[in-house]
Amino acid sequence: MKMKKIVASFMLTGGFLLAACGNGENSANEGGGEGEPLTLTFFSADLTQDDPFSNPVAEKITEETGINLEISHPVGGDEQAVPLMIASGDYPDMIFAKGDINKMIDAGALIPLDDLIEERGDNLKMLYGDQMDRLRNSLEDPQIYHLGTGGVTNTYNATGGTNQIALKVLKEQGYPEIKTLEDYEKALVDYMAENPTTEDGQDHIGLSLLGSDWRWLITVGNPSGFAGGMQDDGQWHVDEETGDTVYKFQLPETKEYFTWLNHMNDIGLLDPESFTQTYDTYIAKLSSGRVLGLADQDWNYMSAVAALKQEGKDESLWAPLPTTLGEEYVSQSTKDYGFTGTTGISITSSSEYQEEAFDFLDWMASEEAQILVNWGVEGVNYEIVDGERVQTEEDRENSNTNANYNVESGIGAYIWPFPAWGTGAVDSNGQSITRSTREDIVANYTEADKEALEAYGVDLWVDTFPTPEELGSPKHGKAYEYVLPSSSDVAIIQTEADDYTTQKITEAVLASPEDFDTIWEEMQQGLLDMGIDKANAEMTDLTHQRLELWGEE
Amino acid sequence: MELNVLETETEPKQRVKRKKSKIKKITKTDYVLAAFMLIVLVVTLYPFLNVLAISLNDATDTARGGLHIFPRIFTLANYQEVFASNGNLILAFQNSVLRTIIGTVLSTFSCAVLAYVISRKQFVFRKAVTIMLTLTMYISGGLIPSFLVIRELGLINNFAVYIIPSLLSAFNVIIIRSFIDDLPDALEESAKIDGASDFTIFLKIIMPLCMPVLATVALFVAVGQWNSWFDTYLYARSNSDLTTLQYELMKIMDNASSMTSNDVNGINSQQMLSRKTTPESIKMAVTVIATVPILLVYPFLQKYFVSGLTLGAVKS
Amino acid sequence: MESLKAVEAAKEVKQPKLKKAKTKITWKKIKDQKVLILMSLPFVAWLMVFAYTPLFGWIIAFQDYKPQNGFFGSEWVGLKHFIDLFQQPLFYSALKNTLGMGVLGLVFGTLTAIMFALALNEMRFTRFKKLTQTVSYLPHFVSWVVVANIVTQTLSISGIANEVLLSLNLIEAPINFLANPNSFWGIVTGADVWKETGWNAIIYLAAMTSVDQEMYEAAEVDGANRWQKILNITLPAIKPIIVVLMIMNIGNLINIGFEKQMLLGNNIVANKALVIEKYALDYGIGMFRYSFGTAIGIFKSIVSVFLILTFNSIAKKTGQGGLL
Repeated sequence: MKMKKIVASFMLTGGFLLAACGNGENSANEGGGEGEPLTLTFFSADLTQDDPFSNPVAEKITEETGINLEISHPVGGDEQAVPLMIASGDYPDMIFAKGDINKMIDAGALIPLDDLIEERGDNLKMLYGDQMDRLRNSLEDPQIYHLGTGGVTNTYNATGGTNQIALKVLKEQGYPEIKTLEDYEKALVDYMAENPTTEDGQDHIGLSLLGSDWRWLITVGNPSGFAGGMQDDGQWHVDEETGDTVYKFQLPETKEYFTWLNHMNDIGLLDPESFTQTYDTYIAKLSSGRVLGLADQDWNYMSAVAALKQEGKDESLWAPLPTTLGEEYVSQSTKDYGFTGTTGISITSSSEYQEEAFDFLDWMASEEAQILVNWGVEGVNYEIVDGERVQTEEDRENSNTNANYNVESGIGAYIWPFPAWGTGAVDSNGQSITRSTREDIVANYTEADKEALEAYGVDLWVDTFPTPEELGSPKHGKAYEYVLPSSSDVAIIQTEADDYTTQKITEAVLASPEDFDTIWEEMQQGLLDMGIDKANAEMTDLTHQRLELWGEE
Repeated sequence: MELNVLETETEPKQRVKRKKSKIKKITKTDYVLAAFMLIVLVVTLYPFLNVLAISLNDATDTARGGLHIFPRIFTLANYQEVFASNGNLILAFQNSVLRTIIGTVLSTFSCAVLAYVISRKQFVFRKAVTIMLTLTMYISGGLIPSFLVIRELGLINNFAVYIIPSLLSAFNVIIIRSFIDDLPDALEESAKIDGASDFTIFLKIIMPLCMPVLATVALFVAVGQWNSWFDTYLYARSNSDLTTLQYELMKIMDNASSMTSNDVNGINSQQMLSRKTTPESIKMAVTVIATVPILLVYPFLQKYFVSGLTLGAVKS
Repeated sequence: MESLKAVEAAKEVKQPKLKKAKTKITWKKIKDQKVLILMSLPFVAWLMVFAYTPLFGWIIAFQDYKPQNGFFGSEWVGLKHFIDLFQQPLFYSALKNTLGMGVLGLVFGTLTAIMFALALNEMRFTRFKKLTQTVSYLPHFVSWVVVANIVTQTLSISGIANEVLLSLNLIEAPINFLANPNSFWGIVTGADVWKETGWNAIIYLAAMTSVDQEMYEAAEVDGANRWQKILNITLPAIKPIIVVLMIMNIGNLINIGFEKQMLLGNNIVANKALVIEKYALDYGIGMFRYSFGTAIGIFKSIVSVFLILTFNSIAKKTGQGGLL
């Protein structure tokens, strides 16, 4: 009797173990028979939402290609998805592995696409054209393992610039030209002197930064390079002539910028909470209309813009400025970096449907497909008026109010990370392939924006910046997109140096002006002690390797 | 404190009477204590009310800050957005409830069995099992090896993956064990004499006496089961029938946060501006949806935390 | 007091039994204890499968692990990663911060939880007591993101803390608490106490239920006041659980997570905020240095096990009971 009870209790727990062994994994690749669409599995590292691939655009894609996608994605910021795939050997048919692509290549998980492109990749050949070399993996293994995304041929109609300033400041001072930090400071000082408080009695804040978390890089680190006329190479600076690459915070330009920030702190124009406030506090401050100057990027303070617009405080919104240390520097904010498609979709070696997958991806690069993924279905999402595609009112309304617009309509859902035409590309009728045009940007400006732009005699804020043609394109792309060899010295030194400079520069900016130089020198020594020279040399090497691979050298 | 002493001393020492009428006299100390607890109450309630207020407030208005415990512009938009963005929530909720109930019952029972075994002083492998168990609190092979083990066991896409790998918790076993250690030995001694086996003693005598600590452990396990989402993602994502509430909510939060980062050319930002919600507000609504069901468990278990109830009941 | 002593004496009598467990494994014993062995067998198997089998992953700490070569095919490098780790100044700074905040958290976390549980236990207004108890564990469910926001707002230059201090004339100008590296450990500990006290008190409350009501009544007859009852009855009754929890938590001194430090910290206090787990993330897995990351994990395990063994034997030698 007793025994029975005991046995029963073990059955309860042990039975589960047994039951557990029954169910196997469910297989993904089903169908493929006559008329049945073939299901390919696809992992997208950037997707954040389930997509059952059942919207009208997806249906149309399946109709045209006979391919149905089963898409998976990482959840909760999981960075182990690809390492886990490699360890367990379970690969999907296609993968957008992003920064992990090198690990997949090392593991032999991806197939080279060169021959396939040559034999049956007409649409892809047309898309990449002379940029094809930029897809190559490395000098030792110069094969193509991925189809770069991000659009070939882009135009830029919006930018955040180096700094931003409230429109009301510009208006009161009769829309002056603000080109240098000196101009910028003067505009803020003058306005603060006249208007110490907002209309509802709160103190104005000259310049507020968000230097407490990773956004330090956006609001403190990056502007120092931009002000020095450098392009966005992350924490590096690449000499266009020689390819020499150095850690940005070793350069006199960044020192000069931080000297200025230190001075702004000294004269009380810098928000004393710049380095301690949280993101929410920062947004709340911006939303109150108290903050006159920023050194941010528009996507970072969008919710403050929404709040100000809702209250009708359009004049407290900010205009982007191409501010630099002095007239001799040129802001690079509107630079066209060229096609830098270092990430994109790959086909795995374990897939049984490699050719089918390739044909599918090639079709995605066709004009027909690009119009479909950008504009949707004719008669539903757009109509042809006088030979031109025009978005329907219904669709415009839907796109502005429906949070699930992309996945429900399918428009925009299959551009990134697939091979894509850029914002500057046109179809065979000469019409823009993407939906973003100058007119769209203008349509979203407030009255205060338009008034200011009229005073400056331009249509768009980007028109107050140097044109992309003037700036040219960098031969190396962007240094922060280099794939650093994992656990190499440069990767480790870079992380250490970033942690260190973030702290030291913060300390220097908040110090009294006479201590600034000492702290700066201390930081330079600290960087040398970390072996920054070695990292510089390795990065320079990487730059040269890339130039050679891309056929630029 | 002195007051208190005086008062008790003026009380006639009528032991029998006091024992029967369990009413205790309320003194000044009690009011001081109550006042102190009121402060604790307010201070600990604040963050939760803050979350609730934000979740019920217009998202754009929330961005202005200064929101405390009442919404300024009341709206259900944040909740609507959460429910609209995911059609799986009902199934996910059912699975979460199911795994919480099954997982809690089995895990609590298993921990109790093992705790009983290692509380037996005469048990020959007592020390070995205890050490083996304790070490698991401080060592871990890491994510990938664990994944491989679970895959080899065929637990992928199997409901059992929610239950079996988290069956034992060394922490919980040891908590129960120290409670058992503290029980008077007399009861089981007499049971032993009656010829009861260890398992019978465990079921009939130890389990009922342990209700307070079992309730505690059940609460810990239930909260852990309810809150976990990573196992769904890791082991069951390709079987949507096994999805759980926290996993679906995690995806909603992911998607909300990505609304700001996918801006290509100023166009998406326009989409963002016309939204009724922000990632921050969605997160708050998600927190409330995720938390409220599990909060209901505690008051239900609270009856086991009444002093002396269990012991008294068993003794008499 | 007499009856109280009697109860104490009764407890004393119980003591010797604890010590008679001299275990020598014989077939007879195994036969006698087959029920106990059978009861433990499935769980031992469980431990082997789910807790010990994955430990094969540890071998990569002694390799230059590359995922494509698998767990057994990578190059062996001996203790290279450990030596590397011990040469990093940042690692020592992270270790110091981790242990510092760990000890503060342990001391204040335990004290406040016990005090709160005692206070709840003493409360007479039953409904209010239940309400307080339920509410006090709510912050446990609020994410650190929210808690960090509230804390930083409270302590900011224009926050409530400064307003109160200014109005009381205790300070002349607002203090930016968050910009002071020396107060960072304190802020983290305070926030932690606020968030977790109610939750941590649950265990002690459960332990207090085992106190025999008759002991209180006996003590009252002897004229004991509340303090005396707490000190002589309640606390001794929950002492075993306090000791066990203490030892288990001491083992976890080095596993304090990094979320709260990351969210409450900023670049001014970064030197005081870096903890081991953040270090492991940033310089290990985050950089795909799996071997290095695993070496840190092993180091942490060794420290934990060393700590619990040490404190377990101290507790045993001083007669406080123990964990193992």
